[in-house]
Amino acid sequence: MMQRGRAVVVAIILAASLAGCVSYSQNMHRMQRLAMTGQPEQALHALEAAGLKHDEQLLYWLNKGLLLRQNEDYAASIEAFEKAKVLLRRLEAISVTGATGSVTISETVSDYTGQAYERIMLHVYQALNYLALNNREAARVEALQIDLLLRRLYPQTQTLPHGGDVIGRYLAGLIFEANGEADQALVSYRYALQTYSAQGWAVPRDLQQRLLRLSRTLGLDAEYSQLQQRFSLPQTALKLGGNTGQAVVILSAGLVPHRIGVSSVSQDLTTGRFYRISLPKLIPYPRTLQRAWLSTQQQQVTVEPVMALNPIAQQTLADQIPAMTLRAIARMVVKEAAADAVAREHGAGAASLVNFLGVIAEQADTRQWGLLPAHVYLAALHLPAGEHDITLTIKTAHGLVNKEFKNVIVTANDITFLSQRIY
Amino acid sequence: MRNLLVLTSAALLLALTACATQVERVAPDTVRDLSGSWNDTDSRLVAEEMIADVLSRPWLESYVRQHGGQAPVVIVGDVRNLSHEHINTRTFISDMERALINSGRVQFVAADAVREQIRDERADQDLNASSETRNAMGQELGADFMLVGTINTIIDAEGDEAVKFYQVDLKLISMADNRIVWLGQKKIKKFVEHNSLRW
Repeated sequence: MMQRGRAVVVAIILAASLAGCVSYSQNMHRMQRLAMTGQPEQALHALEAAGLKHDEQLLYWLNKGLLLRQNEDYAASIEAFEKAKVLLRRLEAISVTGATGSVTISETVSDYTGQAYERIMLHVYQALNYLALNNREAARVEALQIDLLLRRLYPQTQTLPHGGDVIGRYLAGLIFEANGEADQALVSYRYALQTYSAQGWAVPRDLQQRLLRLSRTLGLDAEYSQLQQRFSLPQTALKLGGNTGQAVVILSAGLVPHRIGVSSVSQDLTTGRFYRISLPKLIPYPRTLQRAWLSTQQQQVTVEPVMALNPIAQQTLADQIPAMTLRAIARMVVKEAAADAVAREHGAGAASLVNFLGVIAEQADTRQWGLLPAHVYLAALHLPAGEHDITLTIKTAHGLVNKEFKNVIVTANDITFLSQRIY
Repeated sequence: MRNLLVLTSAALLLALTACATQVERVAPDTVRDLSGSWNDTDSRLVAEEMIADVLSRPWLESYVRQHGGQAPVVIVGDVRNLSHEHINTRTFISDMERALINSGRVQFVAADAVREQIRDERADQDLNASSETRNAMGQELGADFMLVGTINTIIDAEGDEAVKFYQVDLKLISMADNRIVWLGQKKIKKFVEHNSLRW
């Protein structure tokens, strides 16, 4: 009687874990489609309709935050992201049931705890929310929280593996610069430069100019000479007029790679049992943006790529595959033992059912913050103080799209932040 | 099977009970630290202590003596949040304003946000109120001193442990000649340890 009950419980758990996994992917696709076609409100409805599942709470708040942001409801987006932050702190603790479930039942039984680069992007978008509301002080708090997170999680290097923190450091530098804290800004820009160099990525010209300008302003002659030797920028690129301010546009484009499960199934011909290993794989979406530039009536500047999330996501996943494979093998062993136990008590038929459910439940964890962009770009216009109309022109495979920023107020020696999302 | 059913029912009942929201009313001055971040207790304690300090210093007696016994007029300006946390400085400013007013030793005038509302009301009265009852423009009491400050943090954190050091710096500045007549500082240090395991 006890053994039959055990078999029933195992079957229910396996079936339940299967049901949860399928619905997340479907919901994510629907939300992405609606967001991509410029319908963030409908995407929000789809998110709410899917409901708040216990193990996907973090993804719910992260996606909600981005959709509200796309809908320009910055206050509500801030609230959603703050909930995500509180949840992240709690999820840092290792879950006993989650850890047990991931080596016995399925990878998706445990709560989604977020990738390190997703945590940085959370602070990046929260900072952009505050900047949209002209709350420099709160944006500065986000910049400090990025630094604190990196110091806490990676005390030796204070950088993420594979460069996932670069946009966080870059934006933090801009925020400090906007707050008149040249020294703090330089520290952040140095970290960003360190990451570009370590990853072998091209250093954005904008960052080169900022590093040179700030090192010169702060009287760091040796550093200035070193940087000037490295970047070889003309002096005119560093000169700013007395009554000049900056308009900086941060452009988020595309979507992070699509995360799918790839399964390998084999059968033991002697027992007839099936064995399945399913691991996630990232499939990049085609790149849509070909070129983009910022312009006013007097000047034009091309946007530069400052971060590509595709390689970061790929390398992060590659780091995790060995552990995922080990857990998959452990689950196979546990499920095999369960099937053996059921076979002894109830015969081969019942054991086959348990084996079948175990195979079906063996799903790759395809959860991720799927609304993140694939690329982040940046451009800065140096403009005389006053009101300006700025145009962001985006060239994609489908043609040219213009986004107008009307009546942008630029203040001398200050930075005005603008942001845009395209798919 | 029956034992399994009984166990499952008991577990479900326990889970449902745990899911229900529980509310316990507490006194506003109850100290309860949950996350280790800046909270209402920090705001209240710092405000009370620093206002008590500023009112006990020589600048107050000196002013009263020089101005024929008249109490100085104080306004609370900006308290900048330079910390790692989103701190609601408005509640902190309110706590300081309350402590100042309730001391009875200074006169207190409204800060900029409220002033604008009052000026709008006066402008409206100028147009719409009777001459006997309207409050004229240009009769505001000017502040003699402005209280401004910053909240800073130094955080040392690794893994689940953090030492949080808050430093609140306030200064009282003379509106007449920019002299800083008082500098106050309050430090709070917390050791925060998060759970490394959860159920």
